[in-house]
Parts: sequence; C-alpha cells; structure tokens
Amino acid sequence: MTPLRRSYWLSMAALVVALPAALAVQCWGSVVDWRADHERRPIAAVVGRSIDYAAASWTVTRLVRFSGREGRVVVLAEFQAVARDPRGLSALPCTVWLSDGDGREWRPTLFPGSVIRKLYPEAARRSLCGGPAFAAAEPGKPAMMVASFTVPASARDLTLSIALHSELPNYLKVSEPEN
Amino acid sequence: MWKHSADRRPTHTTSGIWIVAEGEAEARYKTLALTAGEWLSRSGVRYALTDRVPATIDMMPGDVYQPGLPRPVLLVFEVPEYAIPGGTVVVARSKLMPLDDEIRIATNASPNQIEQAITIRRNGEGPPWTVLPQR
Repeated sequence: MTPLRRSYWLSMAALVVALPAALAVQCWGSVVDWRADHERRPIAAVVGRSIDYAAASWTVTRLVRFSGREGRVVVLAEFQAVARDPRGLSALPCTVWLSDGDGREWRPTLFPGSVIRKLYPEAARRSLCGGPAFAAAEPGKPAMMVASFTVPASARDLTLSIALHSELPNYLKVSEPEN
Repeated sequence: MWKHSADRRPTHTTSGIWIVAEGEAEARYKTLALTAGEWLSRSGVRYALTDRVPATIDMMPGDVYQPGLPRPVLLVFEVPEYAIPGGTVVVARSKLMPLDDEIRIATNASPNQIEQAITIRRNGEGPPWTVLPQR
C-alpha cells in the first residue's frame, strides 16, 4: 500500500469515528438545552428559612399580597442571597415567576406598584433578581432583591419560583404562607 | 383623519385612511408581550402599525399581558383605501420572530364606514381612551 493510499484510508477511518462523535456531542448539547428549557426540578423552600442554592444561601423574607383595583391583587416578594462570590453570580441570568394552582405563571412587573412604594419604600428601591443586585453585594453579605406581581384576586395557591440558569433544571419554589 | 380632543393636541391627516381597531387581550397561561400588529389586506400586503401617532399606547415593547388580567388594546394603521375591504388584523408577540405564531382576526371593515374625522380621547380613569364617534 502506498503512503498516499494509507493516508486516504486512515482519513476515512477517522471520519467514521469523528462524524458520529461530533453528532453525539451536538445532540447532547441539544438535550441539555432542552432540559434547561423544559424540565424543572423544584427545591421546596419556606418563607423565612434559608436554603442552599447556586452556591449561595437564599432566604425569602416576605411573600405577601395586597388588594388592588378591579379584581387584582399585588404580590410582593422580598428575598436575599448570601454568597462567597456574589460577583460570580452577577453574570448568571436569573428568572423569577409566580404561579398558581391552575398552572398560570406571572412575571414580575417592571416597577413596584404604588401600594408597595407606600408601605415598603425600602423594598421598592431594591433590584430584581440578577446582575445589579449581586454586583452591589459584598462577599458574605446578603444581596437584597425584590419582585412584585399583579395577579387576579381569584388566584389561589400562589408559589414563588427563583431560577438561576446555570442551576436549571433545579430551581427554588416557595409557597405563599397561609394566613 | 382624526384629531385629539383638545385643540392644542395634534391633528393627523393622511392621504389614505386611518384604521382604528379596538380590542382586548389576555394571556392565558404565561405572561407575554404583544408588540407586533399589522393590517393584512386582501391582496396580501402587510401594513405595520403606524409610527406617526402615539396611539398604540398599549402595544409598546415592555408592556405585557398577564394571565387572568385582560387589557384593552388600540391599534392604528395608515393604509390606502383599496386595502380596507376584506382586511385582517394580525397580532404577534414580536416582529423579530417571523416564524412564531400570529393570530389573524377577520374584520368587516368597509369603505362605506369611513368617518371624516374621529377623536381619540385619553381618559383619567376607567378605560384608558375613548374613540369618538362610537359605533
């Protein structure tokens, strides 16, 4: 066998290995992305108690609702995270949502409502979950965050969910305290 | 043609026709944004929401529709008169996702229904606006 022919067959043999390997890696990446988008694994937490998640200790300090206008209620969620490296967390996208027993999901409003600004002005000045809140925090000190929602007054069994994308499919899930 | 209620407010004229569509939208399962609206003529030409007047007050980027909380929607298009008969209102989440779902709402708009002028009045409370005259 000539050297040229040997190189040809070696290349063909390498292709037989490399092509399926490349496809497998690509498929695995798609599976990981799909899981991050569709699969959810809740970590149950309780208001007022800290829980470890995403290399930080998280505590939902307040989850309350206020009556609003025209059959609506405003829900205020305050939470904090203590991390050794808050700057590291600041680069991670964070998603917060509220859901009810019927499976409906609400995203936070851009700005807190007037009732929150009036009753909890300090909370109204805090950041949503994400980069600014973690960037402003010192290592070992809590990053204080807030989210407010507008939902129908008829919504029942509300739960607050917090997800850092690097930790998906795991996310924190906190139920509304019973009165 | 239309004009705002106060005389100091601008009057907008057109060589074509203004189409003013009022409706209501509500997310069913998840918070969503609706930022793309078009008038689709019978011949297939798509007319985007007008950017000449700040009338599409409830279809601005950043505005969202929440499950269980219906919100009024006001859409304004500027089209030639021949684009009216058989036209359809098309609403989608974003212009940036051309393959995404869109809803098409057939209308019975007719060149016989054209007003010489209408007024869109902003309200202090209750519905955010009133279109006059009302049909």
